Amino acid sequence: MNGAVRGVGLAVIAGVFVGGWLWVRGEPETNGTGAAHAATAGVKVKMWQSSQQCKSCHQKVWDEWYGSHHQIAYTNPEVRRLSEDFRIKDCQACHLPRQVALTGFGKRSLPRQTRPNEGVDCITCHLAADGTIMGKRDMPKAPCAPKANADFASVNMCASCHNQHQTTDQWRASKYAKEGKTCHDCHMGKFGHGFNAAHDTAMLRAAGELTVEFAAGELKMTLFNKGAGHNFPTEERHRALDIEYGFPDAKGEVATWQRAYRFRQPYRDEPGENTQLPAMAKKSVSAKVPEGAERAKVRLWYRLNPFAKNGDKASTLLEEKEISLR
Amino acid sequence: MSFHRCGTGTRETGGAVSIGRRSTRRRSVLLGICAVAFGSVPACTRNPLHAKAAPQPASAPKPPAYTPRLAEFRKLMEAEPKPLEGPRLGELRDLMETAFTSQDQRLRKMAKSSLLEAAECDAVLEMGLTHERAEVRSNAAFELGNRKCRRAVPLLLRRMKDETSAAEPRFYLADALCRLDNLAALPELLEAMEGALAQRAAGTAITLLDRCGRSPGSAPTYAALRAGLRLLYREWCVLGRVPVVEPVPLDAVARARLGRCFVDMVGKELRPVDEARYVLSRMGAPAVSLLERVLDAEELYLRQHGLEILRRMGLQSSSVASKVRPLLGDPQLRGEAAATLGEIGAIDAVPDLLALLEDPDIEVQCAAAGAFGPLAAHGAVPQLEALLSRQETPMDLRVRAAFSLAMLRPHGPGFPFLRARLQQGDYHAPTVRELLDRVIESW
Repeated sequence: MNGAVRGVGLAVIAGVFVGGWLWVRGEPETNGTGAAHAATAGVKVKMWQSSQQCKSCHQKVWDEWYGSHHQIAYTNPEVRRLSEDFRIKDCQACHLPRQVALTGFGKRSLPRQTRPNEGVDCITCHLAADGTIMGKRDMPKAPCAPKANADFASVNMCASCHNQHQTTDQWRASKYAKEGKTCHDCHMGKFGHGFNAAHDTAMLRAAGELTVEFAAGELKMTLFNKGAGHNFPTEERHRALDIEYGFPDAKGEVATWQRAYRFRQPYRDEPGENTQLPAMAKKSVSAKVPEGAERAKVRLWYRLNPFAKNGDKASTLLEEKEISLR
Repeated sequence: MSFHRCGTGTRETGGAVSIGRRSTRRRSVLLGICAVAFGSVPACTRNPLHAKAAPQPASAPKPPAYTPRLAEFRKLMEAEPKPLEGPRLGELRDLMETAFTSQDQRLRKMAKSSLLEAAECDAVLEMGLTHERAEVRSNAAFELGNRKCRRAVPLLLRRMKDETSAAEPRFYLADALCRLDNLAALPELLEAMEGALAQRAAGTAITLLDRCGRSPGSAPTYAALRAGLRLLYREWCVLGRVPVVEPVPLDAVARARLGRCFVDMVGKELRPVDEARYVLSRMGAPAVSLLERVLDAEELYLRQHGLEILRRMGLQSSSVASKVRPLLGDPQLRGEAAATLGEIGAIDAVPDLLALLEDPDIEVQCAAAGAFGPLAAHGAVPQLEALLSRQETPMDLRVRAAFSLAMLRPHGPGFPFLRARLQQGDYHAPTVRELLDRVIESW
């Protein structure tokens, strides 16, 4: 047997061995989504399973989202307390949702069991029902090959969760809907994928404008919802907005603060009506001024829950005004 | 081999290679490359053992033919009695308040007698379940149980959900439900036996155990009563009805009230959805036939919540396993269907669930992996161990596999894996704790 034949024989054996090994190992196949090329810790995966897969290409977006209230939607201690540690299972459908597209934009999402630390994540919004990635534009050459979807990033997309508390309905009734200004214009424009909202003091301050006047012996306090494209406050019934007033002594200290008005939607079994302030609406309340009072102070507080007191972590002082009563 | 020959021949007819030692070496290199290519052909074909890329497993059952069901439940609701209104409502309400709260015992007795004789008595008592005064709620619940008002069962259960702090109304709700052959509130009865209401709760327990032919004797201890109730509750969790006692079918009003629960489940408001699921999952066997109907409902949320309720009911609803199985082919709910099959003890579904471990959707894989433990499917242990041991398995899937393994093999690798997650803090701790609680409970 000459060298050439021996070489061929050895090569065939080696080829069969290598091929057989690859066959048994079962190299993952692409499912046409590009997902086969994505990697988690160096391991090839078959489908978009975690936002971790997006991180390597979209680090900036990841950084915006990580730590946001979307990301901590399922782990946030406040949410866990209010949902009885998610024994109220319905909260899970929005706090740990499957991809919105699975049920359809505007329809209630389904709850998931996986990725508890990722809350509302990349997959929630970007994964289409067929397992492909959605975006605003077609980008077939990108590793995740996003396909354009007309409804992607629409108000309907947010409505799947955020209309549980009628926020998108409130928006539809506002002038912003007619102008075509959507959720993303305010909640993404400046902050990107952080989706800043009720936990962002600057955003809250931009929503309301407090004015204080003294006329006909009364203190008139007005709140104008100048910046929110929906009610202020909106979303859950826990949220409250309080106007408080008081009359400082000679040292400028207010002994007792009195609540002039509370903007809030009551709990279902709680008496009272919904006093949230719609977009572009104003609400004025008056208070009698005691004799001898020379100055008045007025504060606007935002509360994450209606039981929070001034100075609590759940209370944010949005504005404080002082007016002369002379 | 013909492939290689053909290739070599082409090369040779090109006339570029001369015969000699150098050309032989070059030829052998070329032949080698071809041979490697040939040998690698199988690697380019699909290994059936690893056929994972299909959108759904090939063996996925065909989903059922969906039918609109919401209208049926709306129709059922028509049998709901109209709420009392007008002056008669005020009159009866005053009578109830007097009957249950007056300090004057004579007046109280007379008012109670008039109330119980009134034609609208049941309706007034049902209203009393949500009265602001705890004593009215307690008495209303007691009387509904005493009068064997079975149509009130959904309302009593609904009230139990909100009655979280007042011990006395909670006890009387549990007492009424026991009298009406619903044992879903036995944990609340057991709770009452630990506090100031222990004697009354013991009385309820003795009556109940007697009815079920489990007489605790003439002078039972509290421990014996508690043990008897726990045993009875375990049987309820399997049967969904009181053992020995002949079940009474639901009347039209009760069915109408359950129909409302189904209608609420597709609504926009979340609280009524949660309430509906609470009530239906505690109704026991009488609700199973209605739940069976939502499994092929065209309305997605009816199917979804139906599966969730069946999961909560567990073995009580094992009779519907054959109706759940087709939902393993439902593109939106196959994961939920897998989890449900596990909880309701559908052991026949194990091959289908094993196939779902190859599903392209991690959510479905996790649901299937987590179903084997509750199902006591020991045959799945090798697959679960393989999933757990592979470092490249996503952590979500490893956690669910460990959960099932820990249930199936208490001394296996599942429990230490879950415990390690808690110690290392590398997975959501409340989820791990919840799984560990279930594992320990199963042991």
